[in-house]
Amino acid sequence: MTTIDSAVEPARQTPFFQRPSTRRWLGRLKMLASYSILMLFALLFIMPFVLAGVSSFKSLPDIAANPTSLRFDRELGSPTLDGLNQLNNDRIRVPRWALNSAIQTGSVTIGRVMLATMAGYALSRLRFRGRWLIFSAVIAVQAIPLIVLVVPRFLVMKELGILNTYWGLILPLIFDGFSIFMMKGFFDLVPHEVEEAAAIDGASLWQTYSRVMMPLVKPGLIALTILSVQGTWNEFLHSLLAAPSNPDIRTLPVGLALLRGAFGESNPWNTLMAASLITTIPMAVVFFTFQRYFRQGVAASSAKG
Amino acid sequence: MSHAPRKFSRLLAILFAFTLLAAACGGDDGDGEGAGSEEGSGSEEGSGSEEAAGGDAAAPCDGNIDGPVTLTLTSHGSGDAYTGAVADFNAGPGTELGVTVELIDLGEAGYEDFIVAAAASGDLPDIIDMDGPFLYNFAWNGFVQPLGNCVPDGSLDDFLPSIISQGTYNGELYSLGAFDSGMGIWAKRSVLEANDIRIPETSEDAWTVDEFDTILRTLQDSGISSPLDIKWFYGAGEWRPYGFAPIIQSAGGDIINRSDFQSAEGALNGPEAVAAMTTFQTWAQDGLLDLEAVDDTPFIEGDVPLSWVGHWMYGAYKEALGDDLVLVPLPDFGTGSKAGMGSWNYAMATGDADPDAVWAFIEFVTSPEQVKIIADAESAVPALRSVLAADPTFQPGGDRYLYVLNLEAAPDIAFPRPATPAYGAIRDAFSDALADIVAGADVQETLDKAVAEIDADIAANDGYPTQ
Amino acid sequence: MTAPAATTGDLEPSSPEPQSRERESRFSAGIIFSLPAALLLTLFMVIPFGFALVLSFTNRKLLSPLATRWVGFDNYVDVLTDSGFWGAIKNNLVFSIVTVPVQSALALLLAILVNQKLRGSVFFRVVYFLPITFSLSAASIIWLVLLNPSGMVNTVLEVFTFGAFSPDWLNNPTYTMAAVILVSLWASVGFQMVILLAALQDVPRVLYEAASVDGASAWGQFRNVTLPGIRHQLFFVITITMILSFRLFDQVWILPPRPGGPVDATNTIMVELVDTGFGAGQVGKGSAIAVLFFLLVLFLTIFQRRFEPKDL
Repeated sequence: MTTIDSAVEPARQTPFFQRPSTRRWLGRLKMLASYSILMLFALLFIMPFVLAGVSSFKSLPDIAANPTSLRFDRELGSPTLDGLNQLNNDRIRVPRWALNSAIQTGSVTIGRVMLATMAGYALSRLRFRGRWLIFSAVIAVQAIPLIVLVVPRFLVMKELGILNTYWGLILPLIFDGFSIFMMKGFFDLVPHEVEEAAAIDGASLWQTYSRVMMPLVKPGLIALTILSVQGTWNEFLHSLLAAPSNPDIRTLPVGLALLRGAFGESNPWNTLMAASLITTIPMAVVFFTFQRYFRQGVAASSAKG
Repeated sequence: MSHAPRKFSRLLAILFAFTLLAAACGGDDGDGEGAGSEEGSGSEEGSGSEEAAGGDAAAPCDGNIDGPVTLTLTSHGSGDAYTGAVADFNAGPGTELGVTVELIDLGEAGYEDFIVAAAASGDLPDIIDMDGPFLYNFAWNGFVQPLGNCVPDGSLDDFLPSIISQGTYNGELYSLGAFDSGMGIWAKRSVLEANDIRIPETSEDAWTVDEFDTILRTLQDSGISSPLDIKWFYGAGEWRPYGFAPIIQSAGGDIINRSDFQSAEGALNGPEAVAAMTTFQTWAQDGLLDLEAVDDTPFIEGDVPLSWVGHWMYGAYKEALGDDLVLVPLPDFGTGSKAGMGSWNYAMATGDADPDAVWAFIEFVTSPEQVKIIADAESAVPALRSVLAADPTFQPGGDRYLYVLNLEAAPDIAFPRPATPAYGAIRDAFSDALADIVAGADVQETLDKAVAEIDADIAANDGYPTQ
Repeated sequence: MTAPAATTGDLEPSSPEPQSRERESRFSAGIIFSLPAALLLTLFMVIPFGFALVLSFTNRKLLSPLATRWVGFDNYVDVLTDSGFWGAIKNNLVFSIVTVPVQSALALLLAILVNQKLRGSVFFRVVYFLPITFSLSAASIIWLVLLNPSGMVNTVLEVFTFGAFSPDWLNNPTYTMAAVILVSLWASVGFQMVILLAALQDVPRVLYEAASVDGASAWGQFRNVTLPGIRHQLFFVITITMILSFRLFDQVWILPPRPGGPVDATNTIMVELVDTGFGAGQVGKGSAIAVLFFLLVLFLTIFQRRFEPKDL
């Protein structure tokens, strides 16, 4: 299994002094074409990052005058740290928002992983009354874009008294039908002999679950973790509506989105650019640390369900 | 899997049954809780209005502040002066009276929606800071209560009449603010003179729409690609009705029929409004309006000679242009130049916070010292005559005298935003319509649609009957 | 249905019949294991859905001093006769019809390109995947600048079209949806690419070798070896892209000059829902939109299942 960055074998080196055959020339041509397309797309994908990075260090007049330039105009006061210095003030509270996002993402992910493994295990291995009902319900909510329930969910949160609290940011996001399915799929792949052996050794059900089964579905756990981190870190609408009047628990996506276009204010683009880039760092770290498992997990869940 | 389809349809059938079941259960819940909360709020309302009738609600203050009190105050992306006023209060009279005010900054985007959501979630702050016209919806919904006897006799004498009328709904005073607003076009005098353009000094003397059209084109021909800055980058929200509804009002229309506030039909989509908006659309399409600016630099740097904006840019513009800066009235679209008016003000939320403590804060932020500090920081028109009189820029010959003239001539020139609970719907409909018109949509159709949206909102709220 | 049918069709527990005492303990264990999920499912999915159904027949407001009353099918009639709702459905469909095939095809193309044994392919994989680390709200903010009439997108376009084509992407309703699609593609194609890349790497090499011995052309290899080899993942990618495409909200809320604008060019059902339910505070009507949207998605899901590969 190759992974996203674990080495693909390097292309075999053809010594330059050796006269290549026509076939080789064709190969070269094909390679050239591939590279051109790859480079073109790479430019398209990376330019926004580069521009955002450069703009973070520009002065506001410089951004207004040269929105697309990748060079700093010294006469307009670039490069400058002004934009970065504004990342934490009365209006722009990137550290606070990031902390809230981290709390939300961490809690939702822990909750979701626990819940999905337990329910996935129950649905895969245990027989109990009501199983069928839960199973059907999980399937049903899979089909609905849950987001259509924002308005009634707001009312439920109101009744529960969890609006404007971390509970409201976290609890409604924990249940996720897809995660349960994915974990059920992973448990389904574990041979029954494993549990039978554990039972012969006298392990209780909980021991079997936590000591024997869990390690066997590790790729699934990690894939689920990554998907959950990504989904929650980026969640916008729910976080916007769950904390309507408590700015202290706004998350990064909400804080950033609300910064735009206030009456009487011009947008501090350099700060916005820097803040946008900063939001990607935790995700990048998570992805590139665990990408091997992510790939396995996604592959497994997409291929086998 | 030949049996799969049958299995799937069986599954679906049962899901459907399940959904119905869920709906039934949810229905019970919904009904019970819905009815409960309705009754709850209904009875609150009832007792509230009884109190009003009995004089209790109009007499919330008893002259005593009972023990140390912490009050919450929402604000919309507060400037330093706002934060400073709160700090000054806490350090000064607050300490004496045992009152601490805590600022909750919600930011400006979606501010009113957040207040409504806060009310819906039962988390209203004790003092609500809001842009003028939202008072009426908040008062109608019962979020805020009249100041009543909290206001000592004679303490309102120094306020501009526009502030008092803005804060009044249903004959009761609900709110007070530290400043009023001013609308006009900031211009670069030297550029106008170089192009032989007349500089009007009063609203009676304003450029006519045809004259203004010619001016814009003259300036464009002189090499300035888009001569009129309209702060389009402020985006959706309050700027659009505040800044551009005066066009419609000047043409003889309005954003709602003010006789009974039941419909916008004929006012917002009448021939006058359509003609004025069509002119505006033409300006946008001919590139006369600067729609690309991302901040204030075009006018500050002198690239654009005209800036259609409110009082808040005076400080920055004066610093940049000095004596070359001149304020001219908005153009006359047919029935005389109009301008926006009204601004942020403070009201007392319905709740169990000590009204005397709330009033202590409102009194403090509308005291002459604070009004001076806040109005200066916002470059705004001070809410108190005494402070206004002490500032030479508001006197005849001063940079901002036009604002005072307009406010004194309200509602003939300065034009209040409509005092109706439907204001939020009107604002959103007009704001969207303006964006669509600038984007090139058919003017009549767009305004008809806005009228339909406004009327639908009023109908959905049973015409916003007075409680 | 994100998870393919192998699980969805499988209603029987896969364990052999346990002994009766063990069955007893497994019975209660099953309840305990599923309880947290069932609880949250009920609280935040089932009850809200019940709420939506019931409230859709009332004139319930988010907040109002007026009493709530039953209005029968008025909300449904209102919504179904509102051109805004149909416009929103059209926009959702346009977005899906464009993004599902384009994004899936682009993801496949990129996956095939970076799956080649080329120097630096790792670098390209990382680059294509990088936008996934953005939240859509952060990505939208950066694209606001790129899509400015004098922004980078137009600077590039002007070079290729010799200045003939440089639209005002976000303010001209003709182009706004295109801009939204562009941003969405950029922001999420990497995810689909990774899934397909994984699939490509799992196609046994022997199959290619056999095909090339049989003299199959590159296209033939692609059609007869690659596509069948990755069909499960391809179907998964198409399904998930479709599901996500219907949730279109963040981009159209942040990018245009007003949410869903200009001139409703990017108004989607989600925007309509939030505008109605929260912006205008008309919870009853918003609930009717939610119920109709639910029915639409249910219909599309059933419809799509007919094209599902039979051997999943």
